[in-house]
Amino acid sequence: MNESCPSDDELLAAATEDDGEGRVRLHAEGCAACRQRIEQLRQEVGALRSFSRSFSRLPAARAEATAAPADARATDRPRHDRIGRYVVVGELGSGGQADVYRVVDPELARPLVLKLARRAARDDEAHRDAAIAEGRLLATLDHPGLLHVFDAGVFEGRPYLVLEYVAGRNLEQCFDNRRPPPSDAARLIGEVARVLAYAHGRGVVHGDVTPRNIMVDADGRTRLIDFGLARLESIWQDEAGPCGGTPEFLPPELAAAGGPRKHAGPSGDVFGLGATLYWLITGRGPFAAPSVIESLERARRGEVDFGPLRAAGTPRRLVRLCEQALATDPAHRPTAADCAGRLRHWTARLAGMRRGTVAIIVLLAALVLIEAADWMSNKPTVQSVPEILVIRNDEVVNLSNVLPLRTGDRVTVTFDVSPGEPVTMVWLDAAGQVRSLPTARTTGDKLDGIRFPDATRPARVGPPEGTDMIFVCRGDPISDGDLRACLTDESPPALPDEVLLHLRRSQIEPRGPLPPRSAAASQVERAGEFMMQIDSRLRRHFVGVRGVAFPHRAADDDADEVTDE
Amino acid sequence: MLETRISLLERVRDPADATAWGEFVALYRPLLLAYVRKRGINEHDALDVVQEVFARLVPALAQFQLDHHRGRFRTWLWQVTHAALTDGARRRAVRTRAEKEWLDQHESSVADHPDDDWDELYRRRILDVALKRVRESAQPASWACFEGRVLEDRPAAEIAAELGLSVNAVYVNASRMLSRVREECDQFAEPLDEK
Repeated sequence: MNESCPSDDELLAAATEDDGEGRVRLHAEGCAACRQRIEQLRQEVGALRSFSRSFSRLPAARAEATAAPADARATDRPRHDRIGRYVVVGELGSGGQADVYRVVDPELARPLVLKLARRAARDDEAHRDAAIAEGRLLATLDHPGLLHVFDAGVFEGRPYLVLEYVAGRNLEQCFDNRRPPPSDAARLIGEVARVLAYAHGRGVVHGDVTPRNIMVDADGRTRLIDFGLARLESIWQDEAGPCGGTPEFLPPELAAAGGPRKHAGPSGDVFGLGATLYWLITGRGPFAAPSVIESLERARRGEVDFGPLRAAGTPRRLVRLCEQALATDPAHRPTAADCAGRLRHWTARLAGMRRGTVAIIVLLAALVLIEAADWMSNKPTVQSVPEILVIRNDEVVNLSNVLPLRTGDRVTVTFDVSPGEPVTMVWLDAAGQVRSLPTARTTGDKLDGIRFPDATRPARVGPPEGTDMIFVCRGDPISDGDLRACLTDESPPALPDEVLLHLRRSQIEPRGPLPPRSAAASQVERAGEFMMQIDSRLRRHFVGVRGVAFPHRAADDDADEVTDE
Repeated sequence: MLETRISLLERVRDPADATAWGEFVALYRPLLLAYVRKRGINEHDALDVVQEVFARLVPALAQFQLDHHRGRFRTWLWQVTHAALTDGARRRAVRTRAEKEWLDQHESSVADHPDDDWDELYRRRILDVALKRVRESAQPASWACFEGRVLEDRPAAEIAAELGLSVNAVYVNASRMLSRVREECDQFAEPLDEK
């Protein structure tokens, strides 16, 4: 385009077919640059007009384009963009004295929950410090059965807590319309009792143990949520606020005092534990009544009707424990550690009676997996590749969520096969060394579970770093020499940090939390080819081969130092 | 093209920029929610997925090579969203069989290209935000020229008469507004003239 070309506004007139004198069009016929520009403007105007038309046709469309059905609009516009350094990405709702947000920590790439006190802490420093100190105390708790507290602070005068976010369902949702068998109820309550015993040992009280505050997460683990929040909220709130919580589960001493939950003691938690057990078996809270007032009245008198509990055919020991935990006098209740011990003893005996030892985790998972169970029975091959679970910082996670694997991590590898089918599990390390793994087999009706290591403790990962591969080969075992002959002389090619390769039916599928960068495509391809090569050699000996390849790096410097036991 | 300011996509990668993430979330969250809901995910799970997407974006954006290849960010954001959706469904698949079917359908499709829903929602979101921003900062008369001539396709002479301007001035204003809208769209690596 040069000096004599028409300006953009003149070209716009031409582009919108409004070139009165035709001067611009005449010019454009001999000027490629202007023709091109007119075409661009035409497209832009076209795009804007069709956008604008889509709104005028449908008045509600604007609301839709900005995404919100009317009922959910409140959750679409969080009241804050940022709280401290946390980016707010949504609201989870409000409970008790706090607003609950979904947040992301830009420095720590993980979903978190932030609870922000509804009201500003009273304007004295001591009060604010108490709120932060309480938060910090919660942050010192570290147990797989509770939600980890990451941070505590004050935002615009309002104290907040930052917690781990766990997807899952609470007991109220899990057992909305069905009752678990007493043995499952005992196991669940035993798990919760163990968490409570841990926290009570550190001087922290939960303060509101109810079915709503106990979750079963996606891995089937029981998690006690909102730990210490009842107490914290009473600090957040006022000295003498009314007690919150559901009166159906309220310990009599608190109902009678009508005072803040701040005064809840460990025995109050044990009452909550008993109340939850009562609810699991009977489907109602111990102080259930047609109205809140009546519930409170019953709670005040400590009036529990144990009839339904016994009527449900509950084993005697379980009824007795429930009765003791629900004692009106806090001094007559057992401790949480007591409950945990008794329940563990009892459930172990039950398991013994059935002549099968079943891992607790499997039973808990069953709560979540009810739906999956019958699906599995139709389709015995649910697991397409070996599953690698990593235990890092006391968390059990799927490897694909914490890539790369780190030296010092503990791992278990599991794979399901048809009953009785022989299997060899092979680990090819980054140096190209191969070893067949010792595995344990649990036999089931439809499938056998193969697990490495064969001991109960997960195996610790050692150096070298690079790319590791695990193969699961179905068919009769082969000699070490034959196994080594399946390898090349090279060590596996490098993989990007965020990529995991699945090998099944001689096909490679890249997996991982993120789409791989295009720059990494050639790396992924090379590693895939390498894996295919080994696959074709292994298949000379075996019926079927499945595998996983993943990056393996040195221990994270930031991670806690690991000492070998 | 002259880069008049650093784009949001650049700013959000800078840990020192305190407001960028808030803006980023405000911009993309409604889009992500609309898209995820449209895929038939229930409200609670939709919010889970969206949170998961943002959590993944934090490290991913640091790696994302921002170039001016057309619509690349749009596709890339879709890939991250799609990955979060399928992972979420995989986790939920143990809960409901219906979602297992959803997963079978969507996981097998090659996750390279966004579907039409995504492209449509994405463009609408960007255009909506771009137009709002320009409108808020513009002189009412300038905006009226743009709105009348470009958005509503009314004759320039009619607009000129209403506003007491020359026809030429209507085009000068409309063209200025158009170039501001274009700049806004460029900020999001979303070219205005793409179909």
